[in-house]
Amino acid sequence: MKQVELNESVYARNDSIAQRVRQQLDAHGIRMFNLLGTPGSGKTTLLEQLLREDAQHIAVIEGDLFTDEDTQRVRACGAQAVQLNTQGACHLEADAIEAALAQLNLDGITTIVIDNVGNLVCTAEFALGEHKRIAVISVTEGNDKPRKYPLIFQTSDFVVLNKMDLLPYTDFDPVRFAQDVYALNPHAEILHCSAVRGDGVQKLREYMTGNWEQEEWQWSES
Amino acid sequence: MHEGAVCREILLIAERAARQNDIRDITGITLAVGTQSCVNPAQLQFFFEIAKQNTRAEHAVLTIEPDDTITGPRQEFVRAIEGD
Repeated sequence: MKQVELNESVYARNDSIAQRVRQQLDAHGIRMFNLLGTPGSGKTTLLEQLLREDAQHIAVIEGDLFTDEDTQRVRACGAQAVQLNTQGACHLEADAIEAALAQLNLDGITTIVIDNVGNLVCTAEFALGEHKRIAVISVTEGNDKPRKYPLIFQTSDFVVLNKMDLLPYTDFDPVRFAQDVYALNPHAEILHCSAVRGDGVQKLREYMTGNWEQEEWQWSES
Repeated sequence: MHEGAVCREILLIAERAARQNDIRDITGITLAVGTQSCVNPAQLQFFFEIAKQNTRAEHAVLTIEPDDTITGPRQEFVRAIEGD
């Protein structure tokens, strides 16, 4: 009987691929954003608004269990897009992103947006090589999401609070929401948006193209 | 919900270590899991019983050890394997 000590993280392989993806992006001077949120929170609608101004320099990696409906929507805006179908898996992993990058023509691309599988749990656990994470939450989902699903808020740089046009019809409390988000992540930037109307989208665009440091991706809380 | 992916990585790590250490038949794998780790042990065992078929870990027992000294998310480590 042999015994071998390992102490190896189950995320080590994914993280090393994510790092390779990041190095490839940095070599091209491309920023990549990981768009996370519940199904129906408005991720793809927000993306369509972002593409409205600049579809030529943004490429999209679409993640869904089934269908290429979102890829069709994104292509209709004039952007390059690759569809990843997970066939039931609840999140994207770095190896799929690496393969998707190989399918994109990166000439002239400055920004890649990953439209992740709609899920508040598993997507937060997997690094994809992104520079920043953007969580999209809508007011119709209720106030309790930061308390119930902390990791996505802890690891997101921007939190888009979407469907603000519907706020009068809900009991959502944006102040309580902000308190809960900042308790988990004091550095988070919260943006109020209405993706269908285009409100707040320019602010997000400014954040995405802004002058922030390209810091190393890391799990600061671990 | 991502126990399938965690299970796949456990087996990749264990099989690689077994090859490197000339272990043909893995009999045990120990996984340490931190307190904020979002892994459900029963689901993980369910996946493991299916995924271990036709691998060097076919006869292995997966032992999941909660470790309250490990904090933070994503803290799941293959501590050790044993076998012959």
